[in-house]
Amino acid sequence: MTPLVAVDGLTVRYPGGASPALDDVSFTAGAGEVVGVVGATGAGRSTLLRALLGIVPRLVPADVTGSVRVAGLDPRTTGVADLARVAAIVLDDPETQLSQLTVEEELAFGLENLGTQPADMRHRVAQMLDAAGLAAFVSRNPQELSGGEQQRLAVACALVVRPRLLLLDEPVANLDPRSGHAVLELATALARDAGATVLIATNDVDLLASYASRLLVLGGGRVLADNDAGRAWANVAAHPGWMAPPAIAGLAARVDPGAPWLPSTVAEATRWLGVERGAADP
Amino acid sequence: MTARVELRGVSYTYPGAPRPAVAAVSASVDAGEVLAVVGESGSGKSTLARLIAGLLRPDAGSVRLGGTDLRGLRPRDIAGRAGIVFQHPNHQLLTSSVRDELALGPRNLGLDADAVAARVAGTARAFRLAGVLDEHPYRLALPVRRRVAVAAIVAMRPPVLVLDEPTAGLDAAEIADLVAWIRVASGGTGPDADPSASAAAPMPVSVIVVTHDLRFAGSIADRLLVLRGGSVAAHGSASALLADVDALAAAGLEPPPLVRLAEALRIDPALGVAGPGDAIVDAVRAHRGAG
Repeated sequence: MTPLVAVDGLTVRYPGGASPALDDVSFTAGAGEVVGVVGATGAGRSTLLRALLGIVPRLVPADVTGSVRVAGLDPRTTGVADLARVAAIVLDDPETQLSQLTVEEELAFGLENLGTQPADMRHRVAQMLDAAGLAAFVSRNPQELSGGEQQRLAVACALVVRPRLLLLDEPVANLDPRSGHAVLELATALARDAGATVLIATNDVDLLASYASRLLVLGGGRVLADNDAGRAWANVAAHPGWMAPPAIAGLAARVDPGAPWLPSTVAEATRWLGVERGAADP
Repeated sequence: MTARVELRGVSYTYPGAPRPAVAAVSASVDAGEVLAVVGESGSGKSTLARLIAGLLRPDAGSVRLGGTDLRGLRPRDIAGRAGIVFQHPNHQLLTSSVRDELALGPRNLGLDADAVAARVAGTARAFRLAGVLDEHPYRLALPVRRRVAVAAIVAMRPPVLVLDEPTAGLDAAEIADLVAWIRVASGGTGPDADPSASAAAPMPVSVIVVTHDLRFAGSIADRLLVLRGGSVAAHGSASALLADVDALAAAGLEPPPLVRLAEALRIDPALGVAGPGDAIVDAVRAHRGAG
């Protein structure tokens, strides 16, 4: 069976860009996988997510070569309506993505466009209001919510359509850790319960560590590492020029230099050290 | 020495809100000191930042900058005393080029054209923006836009600098740059210290950082102000408070990762505040040997 996401030799050049934003990127991701997309600023994370939905090059002009398939569809040539049935994205400035007059209408917007039956729509909107902790804001104007609340709403709008592929670009940048955990928990529940493929691009690797089982480490537009999280962090720790690993992995790398696998959460670290957990990871 | 920033019993309720966003907050920040204001969403952090920068007027209590009550000052006089960088850079970028953005504040402070040009050049150098001076700010990637937003305020050389969630969207290296820059600014050597520049040596800046990132707070803050529901839940030395797992938990906050690990291993949580130093590496290694 072909994986939901298949990228082969993807190269993206923006007009006037000195070097390609993505350079010969290949990877696949299957149902139920939660993949962290990490790397320093300029590594190509946002471009990769946008290319998976065809935003690059259809809305953001660029020269694109190589192949991208999402559920067998080519996002460069597939109609927006057909793509929207399969994939959803939350961009890194969520306020620009909110267009409706109330939180409830915002959540219903995507479902309406997909032709969802009214009864089913009401049920799913109500369920998502609760799950995302937005029930108290149901009649509020999205533009009047705080940055964190807008971000939660934008993620909820993507989740409510139950996409098979969910792409999140910096979904926790404006959130306190508790709200950040809530957002990533919602996203990973979609992978766990509905078998969705979830790609999370973020700088907050400490928070990501509790959710992503696999990492795509990008640098200068290329894939530097594509491993399960523990091996990828060991790889990152061995290459100081790539990016900074989570605090726990950085410490573990100093405790055991050259280890092929590194813990990145408190729970993993206590197991790695062979001691019982004394404090809970959230 | 007089505190550069002094808050006495500051309270503020938004019009129509059922309860105050900030309630009876007292705190002070000296010149050269970095205060981190932490708390969960809705704890009043950003409101407090706006009160300190004079964008909101307290319903009760007073905000004094350099000994002067803000109530007696006109907005343009406050702008010379305190600068605020907002959480979303889009909310404060107003012009069509980075150069104009950096010039706007100094020009409004009444500097002449030569002085404005010198400020723009020095600030652009300090914030590595010299290569994008003619770009439209909205065409820049978010981290660069955020750097422009910080630089545009710093160009005014305010003695009090308020930063609201400055690390959002930045990668680790960019946060390290920000930390280094804040250290330089609070130490008084100035962000654009350049022996060839004719500008007078900047004074030590008082920095107030609103953040939910306790790892970042541990890397820069001298003192910590922990808010919960608009009130002060704790106020004291940053290194002591960030290792106080119970105090942080009571305010709904998650301690930094290495503090949580130290707690789990029953070693001194204080070793985990500043990052993976030798002491915590040795302590964890000893644990591994024993386990």
